[in-house]
Amino acid sequence: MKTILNNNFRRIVLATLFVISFGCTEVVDVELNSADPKIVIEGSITESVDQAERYNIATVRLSKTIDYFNPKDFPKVTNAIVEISDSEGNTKTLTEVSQGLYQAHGISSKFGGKYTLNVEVENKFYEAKSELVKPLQLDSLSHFTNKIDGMDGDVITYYFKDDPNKEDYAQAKLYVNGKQILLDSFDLYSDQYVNGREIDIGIQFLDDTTSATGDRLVKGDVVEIELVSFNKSAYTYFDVLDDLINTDGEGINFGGNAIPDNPPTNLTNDALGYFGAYSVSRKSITIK
Amino acid sequence: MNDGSKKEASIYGGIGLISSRLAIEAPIIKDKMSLILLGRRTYLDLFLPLIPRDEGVQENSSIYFYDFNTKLNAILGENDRLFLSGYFGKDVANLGDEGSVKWGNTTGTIRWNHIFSNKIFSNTTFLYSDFNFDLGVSEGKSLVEINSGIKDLSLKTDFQYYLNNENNFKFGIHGVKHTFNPGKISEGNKDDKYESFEIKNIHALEGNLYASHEYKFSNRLKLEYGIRYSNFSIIGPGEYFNFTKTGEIIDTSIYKSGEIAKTYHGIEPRISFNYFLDISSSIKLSYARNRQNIHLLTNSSSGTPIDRWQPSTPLIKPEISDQISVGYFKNFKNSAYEFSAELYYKDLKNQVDYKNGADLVLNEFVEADLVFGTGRAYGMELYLKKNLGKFTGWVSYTLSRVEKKFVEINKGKLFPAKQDKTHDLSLVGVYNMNEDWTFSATWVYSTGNAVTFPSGKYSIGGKTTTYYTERNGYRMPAYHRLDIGATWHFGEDSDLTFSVYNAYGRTNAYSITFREAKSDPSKTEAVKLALFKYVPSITYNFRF
Repeated sequence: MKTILNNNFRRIVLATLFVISFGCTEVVDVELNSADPKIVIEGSITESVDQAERYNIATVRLSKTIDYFNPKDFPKVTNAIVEISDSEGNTKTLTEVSQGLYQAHGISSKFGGKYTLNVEVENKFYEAKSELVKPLQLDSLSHFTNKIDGMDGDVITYYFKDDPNKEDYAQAKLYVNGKQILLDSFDLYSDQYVNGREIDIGIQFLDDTTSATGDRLVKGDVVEIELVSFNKSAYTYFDVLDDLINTDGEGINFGGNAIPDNPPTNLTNDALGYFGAYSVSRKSITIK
Repeated sequence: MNDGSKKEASIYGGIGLISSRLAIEAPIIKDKMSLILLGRRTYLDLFLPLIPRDEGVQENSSIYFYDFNTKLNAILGENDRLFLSGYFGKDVANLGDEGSVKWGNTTGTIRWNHIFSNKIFSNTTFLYSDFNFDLGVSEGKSLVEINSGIKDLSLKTDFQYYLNNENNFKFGIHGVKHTFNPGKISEGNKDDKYESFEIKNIHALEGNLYASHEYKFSNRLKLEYGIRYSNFSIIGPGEYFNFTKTGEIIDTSIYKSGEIAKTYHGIEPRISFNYFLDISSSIKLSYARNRQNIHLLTNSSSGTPIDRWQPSTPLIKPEISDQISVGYFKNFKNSAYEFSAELYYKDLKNQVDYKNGADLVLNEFVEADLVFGTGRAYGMELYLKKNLGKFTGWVSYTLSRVEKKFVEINKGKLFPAKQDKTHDLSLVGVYNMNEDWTFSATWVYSTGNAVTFPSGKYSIGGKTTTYYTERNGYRMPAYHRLDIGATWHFGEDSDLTFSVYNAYGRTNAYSITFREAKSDPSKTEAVKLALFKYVPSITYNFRF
């Protein structure tokens, strides 16, 4: 046993040394199976309480997987029957507003309420359930400029207090002048180690194409943060998805990594994707 | 390393392009006690400046390996010998501003060899060993150090008793104290980003007893059978958890120092028959059970080919394997050639693997991310060796399969383990041309590891992600390599060795990763990271 351990450690390290010292990368052909296209269901029912009017919308996107090396043109799934029902037995059918995009307004929403999504397409049925949680409330936003890695940059910080009485899971979404900016990571939040604390989280804006935001802020820009709260199952889904997206990188990954697999979905019948009920708190700030 | 000359002192060593070594052998008390000191150091660093900057080598990088070995050998009397040995080695790779990888190994051994009579011998060994692995990663201004390791203290005594020509007995007792450090993060300069984080050490005590008997029925038939009792106790201090199916902690058990958290014990029987068909050939039939308390957790992705060793815990049971094998052995032409063929089948129980989506690094609750199942391994090994003549060498070929089965993975079907290599072939040849020159060549070939690759992609949350159909459903490219060498013997105790590692420059894949194409982000591509191509080397070996 001793020698096995010994050799294994040595093998790892030597291999690492070699790679670092003499490693070279090249693009190669890998033969991947042409898997049968699989349906991807991205469903949400979103509720926000800090707007003038209570606001909710159900959105479902249906698409299919494609072969790994094909160009990114994901087939949309049309002519599906998409329904969402609440725990009181009210059912609403979503309309296909554009190819593969189904929407409906006016579904009653209640914290703790359970929602069921049903999709029927190509003679197959898919179902998922999700629960709407009480959202974390954004308190305020702040803006300041700072040196980041030797460059001038802007930092937008959002503040909120974690709810000490429950487990909280959330994701921050960023909008500049009404346009969503996708960050490198999903900016997930879990109160596992910070239950009940005052939280502040900063997002950096650098004049650098390698940074997530790609640009600095200018006077008059309106920055909006959406803090989207959801349950643990959604958090786990996005956490695994985040790991997958961010470790499909180059070379050796030293940091957190996961056994590659499709994130754990709540959809039935082997569909990919997730159906979540999201409660949202929003704040915005105008750059002076 | 030999035991050291008890007659006269000598110095020998080698000076090479990428490494050097030096050894000193000296008698301390003539014919009674001798000492060997041996040191090695590689200096790959010297070549780093030759590599173009854009190949990803950081400035201020250094790469080296060194080790130091010492061995004291003493004859205490007619019936007693004592060996003391120490080893210290370190591998270091500093990647400039990016971080560093360090591997260290320290062992100390005391062995006492005692002859009770011309029929009974004993060997008593005390062993201390400490392996540690340290990964430093720079994150902005702070250096985060992740380290893990295993410390062992063990004491064992083995006895051999030659009763007579027909009967030979072996028995012994073995105790080990293991301390596993699964991982610890500490920060070099206190910033705010990471809290210090430590996964609690796991302490275990292992005790084994064994006895075996070799019995010659006749000159043709030999029987060997034995039994081993193994006991593995996980002891406090420690915290162990129970989890629900989805990985939530149900309860925590805290154990005080010395308290037993869990004991696994069992017997391992073994038996083998050797039957000589004639003077130069024999067949062997054997069965053996093995219990294993240290488990190898392998990463199935091709991006981070780093494995982790995990001891048994209250939730992780010892792996049990039952192996049967049958072999045929034959010598030809007055032992100029030897040939063997073996078939084996292994039944594997209590196999451990990561569940889908498991976190690999510094996972405090790794047990919640594991699944337990069964497996099997079977194969055929062929071996042919030429012992005599100017040309010597051997060929070995293994055809095998290693499969595992977990309810939670691949819908409960058997799938190839990472170590599953269908074909594994080695060819080794040495040609002693004359007194001055020796030539050698080695060629190895093996099927690539089983690995998990994506089978497609899709869009979600505005991003593109990969779609997986099964665990270990793909293969890394086959690995093959040719090494050649020539040695020129000149003078009495000196030679020069010229060698080329990977002579035809095969770019064997270390990892294959998938990414957005740099030239066209609408496309995705596979990128192979290969080890270095050719490594030529010259070494001067001497002795005086």
